Amino acid sequence: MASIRNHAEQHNADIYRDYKKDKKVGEGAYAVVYVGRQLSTKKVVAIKKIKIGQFKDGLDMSAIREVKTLQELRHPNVIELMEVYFHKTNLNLVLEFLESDLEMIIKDKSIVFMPGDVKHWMLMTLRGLDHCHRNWILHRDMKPNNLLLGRDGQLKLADFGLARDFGDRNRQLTAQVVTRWYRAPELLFGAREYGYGVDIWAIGCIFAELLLRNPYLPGNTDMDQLDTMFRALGTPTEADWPGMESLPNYIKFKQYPKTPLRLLFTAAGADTLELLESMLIYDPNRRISAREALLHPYFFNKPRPTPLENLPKHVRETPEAAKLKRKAEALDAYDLTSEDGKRLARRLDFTGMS
Amino acid sequence: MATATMTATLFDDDVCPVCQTDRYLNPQMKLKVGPCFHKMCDNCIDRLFAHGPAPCPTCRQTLRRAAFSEQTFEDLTVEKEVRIRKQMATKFNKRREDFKTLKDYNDYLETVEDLTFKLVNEIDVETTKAAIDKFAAENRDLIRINADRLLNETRLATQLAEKQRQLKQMKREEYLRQLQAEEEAKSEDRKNLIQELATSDKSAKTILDSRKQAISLKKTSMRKTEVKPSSSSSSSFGTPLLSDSYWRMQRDDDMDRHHDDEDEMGVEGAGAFDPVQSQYMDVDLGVGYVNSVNNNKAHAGGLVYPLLTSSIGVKDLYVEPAGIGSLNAMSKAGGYRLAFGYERAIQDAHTALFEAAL
Repeated sequence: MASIRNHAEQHNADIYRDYKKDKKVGEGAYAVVYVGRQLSTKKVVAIKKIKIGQFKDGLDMSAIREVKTLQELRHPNVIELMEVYFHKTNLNLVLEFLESDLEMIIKDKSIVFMPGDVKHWMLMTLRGLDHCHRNWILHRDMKPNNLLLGRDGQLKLADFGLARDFGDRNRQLTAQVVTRWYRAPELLFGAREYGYGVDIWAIGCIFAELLLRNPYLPGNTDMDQLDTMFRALGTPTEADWPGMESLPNYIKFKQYPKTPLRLLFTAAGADTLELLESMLIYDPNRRISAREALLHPYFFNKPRPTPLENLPKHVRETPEAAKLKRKAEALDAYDLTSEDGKRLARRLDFTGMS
Repeated sequence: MATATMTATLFDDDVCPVCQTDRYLNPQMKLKVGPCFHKMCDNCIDRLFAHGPAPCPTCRQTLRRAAFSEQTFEDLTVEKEVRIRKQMATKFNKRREDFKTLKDYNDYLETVEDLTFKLVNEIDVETTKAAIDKFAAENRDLIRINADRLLNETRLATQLAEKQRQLKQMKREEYLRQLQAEEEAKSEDRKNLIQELATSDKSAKTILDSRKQAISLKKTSMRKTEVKPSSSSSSSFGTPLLSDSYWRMQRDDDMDRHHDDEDEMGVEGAGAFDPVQSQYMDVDLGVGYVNSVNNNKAHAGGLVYPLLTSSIGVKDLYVEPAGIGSLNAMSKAGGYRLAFGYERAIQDAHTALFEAAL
């Protein structure tokens, strides 16, 4: 018994010695992320240090979820969990290091998206998600920020802190998942039993965001989220979504008419809109699945997905440029309603002239 | 043509400084230049560096075969300077916007020039190189950022150029088509005229007069119709291509047809393109399972989740049993399906059945 324990500790120590943390790159509620290196291979990795001490019930739930799901998933479009080791009282996850994410690319207005770029990003996202769903895992936090991009252009699903298995009847799931803007209507209505539809809805929002270069349904509160959604896609009726009124947090909303997507997405082709629409169907049972989406004509039609090496890369801002930009933003924010602003506005008001 | 003969005469009296072969003895001889800017013919390079790095016969600097390249400029000093500048440009790629003031930027350019001059003229080579390395180390991140930036810019530029080219080609084709149509109409007209002159009993003069009138009428109407399409095409194609590019690519079938040839080199070859990438499937599912899922590709158009179809006979048997398993409206509306549970249980039971023994 003792020898097994010693052996495990020895193994843990070996792993620990092989990695070196270089620089802190981010901090979340329950973890700090460092960029580091594997000393034996010189490979750059991301090390997620999970703070343990502060939780009196042991390890934080999301850490357990992340380790549990990532161990089961191996796919080119899912982030790879390379090692797990303990050091002092902290749990460390060694993950692949990817330097940018889709959110940065969307926000970088110096990059022009070609339709083929969007298609390839969607393709990679759906491939990764399909892999999760086939293994009965819901990601539950799909958003551009969690779709990481490597230097080779490969896109990978990351942050499985909210992921869990689905399909088992006797367990209820929580509805408080997914970043609000990407949250599916059944979650907003408080459904405790749901399926892969929640991830697909989020992907639909990401798809729309890639086409628009702006968040598609940016609600300020949960209520506002529903309002924004219904304004954009029309208020669903019981015929659109059978059983909708029986959901725990169902609220009757003002009846907005459905506007065709074509009006907002003037640039998109018919196949693009068809796929987008089938991802944003209210009834989760009729919403498209990841597999069906992959086999949608959109991916077979021209233009073909841009080859990996030609996908646009995010250019990190130089510190000087960032400073200049901040200054410009400060000028933009110059408040016209303030005392100074009012004086300025009056001086420039020519309405009194005849 | 002119340049080809010129280079031929320029290099006519080439002699390899190592083996003294000249173009008279070996017309295929190619002189190459190494990093130390000493010439050598390719035979000598092959001979000297057959066993890895070796010293240059002229200056004893250790060289390797891959470092030799063909000479672009006749004057070796020009060649040298161009090469050095090329190397410098990969490291000193800062831009105007990386500096606060124009003066800073000019100072930076001045230092780069100084360093380049020193390298070219071999003044303080060691210290200069050290200075360059120091700069490269200090600005590693910035250099990479600017390299990425350059990549994005060239990408955009090539895309724009490609679009312009397509546009031009389309215009040309349109023009040729018009020309041909005109030609056809003319010959048709002439045929009709002769026919009429031969068969009609009116006098030749009245026929010709009515023709002339008809032609002048046609011309004015043609002019009118011509104006229209050209103006509409300018609104959709003549505008700067940036913001509108998406629209055009997606909608315009003509454009797609022009695209065909380049597009063939899409993600993984046009023919074998498989969005599902089934090669990853046997990682987690048994072999037998993979086959059944792959067959489901035939269902592509259908609306059922391939995993939940009757391919394993699950759905038909179990989805609507009246007693234990029936779902209430709430679970249904949330998107839960009984089939999930059954499907998963069956899959779990099959997992690893087909795995090779460890």
